Amino acid sequence: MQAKRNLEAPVGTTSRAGSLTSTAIERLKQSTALYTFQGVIIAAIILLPFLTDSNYLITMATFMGMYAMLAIGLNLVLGNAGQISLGQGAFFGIGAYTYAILTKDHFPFWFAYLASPILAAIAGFVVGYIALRLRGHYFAMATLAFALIMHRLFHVLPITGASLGLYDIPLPAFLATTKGTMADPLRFYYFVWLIAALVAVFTANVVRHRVGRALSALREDEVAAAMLGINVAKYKIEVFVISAIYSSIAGSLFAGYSGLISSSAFHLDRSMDILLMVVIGGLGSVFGSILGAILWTILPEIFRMFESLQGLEPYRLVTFGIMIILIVILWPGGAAGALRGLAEKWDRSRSGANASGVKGSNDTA
Amino acid sequence: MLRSIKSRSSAILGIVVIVALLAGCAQAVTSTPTAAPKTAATAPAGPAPTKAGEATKPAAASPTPAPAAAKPAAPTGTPYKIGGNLMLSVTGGTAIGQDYKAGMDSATEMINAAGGINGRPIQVVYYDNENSQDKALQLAKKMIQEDKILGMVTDRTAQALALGPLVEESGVVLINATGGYDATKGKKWVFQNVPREEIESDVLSEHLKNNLKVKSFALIHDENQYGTTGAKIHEEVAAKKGLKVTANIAYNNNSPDLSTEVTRAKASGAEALVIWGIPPGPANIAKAARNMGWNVPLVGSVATANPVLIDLAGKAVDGMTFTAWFDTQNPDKNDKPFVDAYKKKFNKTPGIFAALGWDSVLLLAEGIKKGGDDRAKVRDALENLKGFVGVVGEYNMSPTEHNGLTAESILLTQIKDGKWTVFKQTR
Amino acid sequence: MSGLTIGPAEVIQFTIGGLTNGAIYALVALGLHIIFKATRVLNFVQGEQVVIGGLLALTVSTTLHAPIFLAFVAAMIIGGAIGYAFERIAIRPAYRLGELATIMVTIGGFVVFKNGHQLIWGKESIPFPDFAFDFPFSLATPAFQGFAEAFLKATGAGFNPFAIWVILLSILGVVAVHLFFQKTLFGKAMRAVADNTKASELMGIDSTQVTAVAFAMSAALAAAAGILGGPLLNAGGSYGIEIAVKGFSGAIVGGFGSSLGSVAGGFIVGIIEALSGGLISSSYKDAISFGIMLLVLLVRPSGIFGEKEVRRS
Repeated sequence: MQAKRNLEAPVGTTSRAGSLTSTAIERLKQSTALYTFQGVIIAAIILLPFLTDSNYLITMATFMGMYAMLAIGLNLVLGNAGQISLGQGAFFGIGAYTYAILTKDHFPFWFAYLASPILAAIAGFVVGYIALRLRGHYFAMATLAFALIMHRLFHVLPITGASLGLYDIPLPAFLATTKGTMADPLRFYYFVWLIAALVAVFTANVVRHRVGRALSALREDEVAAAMLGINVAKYKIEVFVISAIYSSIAGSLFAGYSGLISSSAFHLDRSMDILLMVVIGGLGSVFGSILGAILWTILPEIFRMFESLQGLEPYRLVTFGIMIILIVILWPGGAAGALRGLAEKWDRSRSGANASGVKGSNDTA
Repeated sequence: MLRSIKSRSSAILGIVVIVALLAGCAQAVTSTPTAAPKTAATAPAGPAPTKAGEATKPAAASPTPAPAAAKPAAPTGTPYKIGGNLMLSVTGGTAIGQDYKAGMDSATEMINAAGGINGRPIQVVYYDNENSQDKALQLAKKMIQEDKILGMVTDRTAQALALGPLVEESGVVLINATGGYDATKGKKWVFQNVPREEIESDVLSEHLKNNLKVKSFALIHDENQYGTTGAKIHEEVAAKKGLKVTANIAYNNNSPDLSTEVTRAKASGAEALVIWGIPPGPANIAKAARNMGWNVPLVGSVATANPVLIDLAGKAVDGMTFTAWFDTQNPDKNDKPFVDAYKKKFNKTPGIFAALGWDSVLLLAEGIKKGGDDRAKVRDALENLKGFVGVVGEYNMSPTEHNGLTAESILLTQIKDGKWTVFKQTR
Repeated sequence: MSGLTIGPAEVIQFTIGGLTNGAIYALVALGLHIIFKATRVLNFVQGEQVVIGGLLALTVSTTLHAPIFLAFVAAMIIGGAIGYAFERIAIRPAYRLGELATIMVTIGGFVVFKNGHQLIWGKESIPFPDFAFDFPFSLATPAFQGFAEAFLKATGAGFNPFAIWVILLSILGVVAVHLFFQKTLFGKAMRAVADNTKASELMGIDSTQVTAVAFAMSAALAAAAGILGGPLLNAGGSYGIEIAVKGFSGAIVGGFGSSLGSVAGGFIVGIIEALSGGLISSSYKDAISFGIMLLVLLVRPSGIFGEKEVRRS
């Protein structure tokens, strides 16, 4: 229960609200409906395999879990440190290729699962150390350059299998089918979401208790934060490294699950997609990142899931683009912000007029 | 004022989204769990009755005879389904996935017009995998489980390699209708209908040596997987034949000017230039070579020989020779049904990707004819297929050979005065 | 590969190729610069607007049988109008939500435009006429033929006649844009808005109009790039994002904040690419040119020619 509560950590509330007590009261007031929403999503994730036997949906939901990790990572950088990173796809790739290269070379699986995040952390530290000296757009551009270079290297280096990529990537026995050549759908599904949940809980706690406040302060006013003795650069790098680690974990899962990786999976599109997930989900909220990953995966698939919409298949991607624009404009707080707004409205109507003055930080829906 | 307009228009947009989503949700409640026909390639009980008479000819000419060849009845009953796991929304200058679909559509139509298979129609379920392996994997599962397909066709080797373990474990035939890499190796359920690169390289090397009388050549290839693997194999094969490969250079199909790559090839002192790629790149390469006054013979791999090449490069490709599987201008009796059906349906000359789509459907239809609704029997039938002639060539499969195409299937063609002609039959 | 002899002729040839590509990148970079200057936004739609420009010109010239130069102008106008409309409909509501939201809208726009032009014009590249020999671009004159031959003889390097137009017209476009900013009232207003939006609004400049015009101008330049690149890239297809990325690196190398800088950057990227592809390896040429872009960002974030405006934390 503690974990679930932490998932919804509206970052910035503490620094904005006048006093801690009023914030606590506010949160208690708005909690019921919001927790119901979150509970429904969490229950849906846990119960999905019992609700459907569609391998298609389970597979989609498995990738969703990996995307959720990517989104949570980027959300730390974007929502908390206020930096646009276009390099997440590259860290995703570093994780995937490290895992694939090591396991294909018969290194033990635990070693591959450990080496991926370590290597990504080193890369993240180097890129972060250099690029975080730059502000605003120049940081975005530096990460863009990094992503482009990494994609080219994945595409041409012999060790990454060049343009063919790497295939027949092994899996640990407990995640594979009895034949051992592919991932067991259910076990992998729960494994991915277990890791995603750990990532989410860890993030919520890190955000709440450690770098969270410092970072929110620095997002509000970097100079003031620096004057308060907060080591801005150190926190920013820390957050960037954490995001690289999350991305690489998702990458190592991705490599094992798909069995083949090639450079096209780690192109600029991937980084752009992760950015979209974070924004449509909701900045600064872990729960929002999960929602974002879910929405991003489901929206373009709607046309395939329901027969009546199949005639619109050719317009699928155009419609998806329009939906993105609409969501960005209409839900500036993302899906999480919209839900929070809905929840508040619902709570307010139940508790009468005494909550009239209270408004959430991202309420716009 | 402005603000009120803004908020009103946002409200309208919001309503549109909500309605769209609600429509989706409402549908979720009503849709039945059983898989119903998806994007139907052809209406199952379509226009067959009226065209039944005319349809005899292609049926007889094609290796898929209708049950009663004289008077094919309209196919009835549940269609046999096969899946097209294609990159329909991705383009790289040549709309590869769409070409496959066009070829598959033509084949399906022809088979159904000729009475279907065992009296039942055949239907292709297409999904757009956006050239992403995550989508390809999840859509393959959808086809296998929900659409209950009897076989699947994919248009990219990377996808075939990613789907290999899945089809092996689920027991569904996968036809990798692309070249660049042998995806059938060690696989029980994977077939491929592109002659191996070694075979094509062999023919090309002989052509360079005996017909063009050159001792060395430079190789320019698309940096994608098709070009890279093909060029690597070609370099090895040619070296064994005593030809000197003076340069092996990658190009990017999306670069505007490719004169840098051509200059490097020219500077290597080659006597010929071999291009391994898919238009539009080869067109720019040919033009750049001619503009810098480099007039060595140009030779293209099979994917280079796309009809659009002449439109793109004009005079620069005149005299260029290619490996090919069929002659678009004067198809022989095996290829004619395909070329005619495609021309009639789409009003343009078919390229090799359409041919691969066509052959994939014919192969699966052949398997289904013997195996019916049993996936394992379809596989067995395919594996024992002998002497089956498609557009690409004659397939002779066996348990150890899931490709079955030989050098016999490869022609040499040439562009002469802006038209495709047969250069010379090899061997 | 042994036996590769790279001499002055080859280097000249590489440079010509680099300048041709660079001219196209420069136009894209200039468009990105204009939008960045006016709105501080990275515009991801730019590449697709290049593709759409080429398609529009082709459609105008084939359906209306219009001469190519008319199609050229028409495509720039229609392309500009699309850019203007995109700003009004989609970008404007996002401004108040901040830069991130605006960038997200351009990413959404990228998805819409990319798939939209494929829906309208199909997914196949359409051959684009090589208009180097059409009025008024005709180079089929004895003087030019003589020049081309003499050039080939003297340097050992040949060139696509068309490349001359690509380079000349893009330089012309750049000069025109530069003069617009320096000499016209509206151009000055745009610069004022870019430097200080609030102050310029106080002085009575309509900043919303300025940003919309910036998008229109940038889209028109993108259309020009699509037409000039047409004979090389053909019309339609999926090259948009690749061209946009090259434009980005050009603008970064030269200086996102400076119009002449971003243009010079486009040419520099083109030449670096050609030289590294020619002298080192074409597989690594992109990695090298992106590496140089990263290096420039680290050493001089405002670009080689940009004024220093980046505050470091």
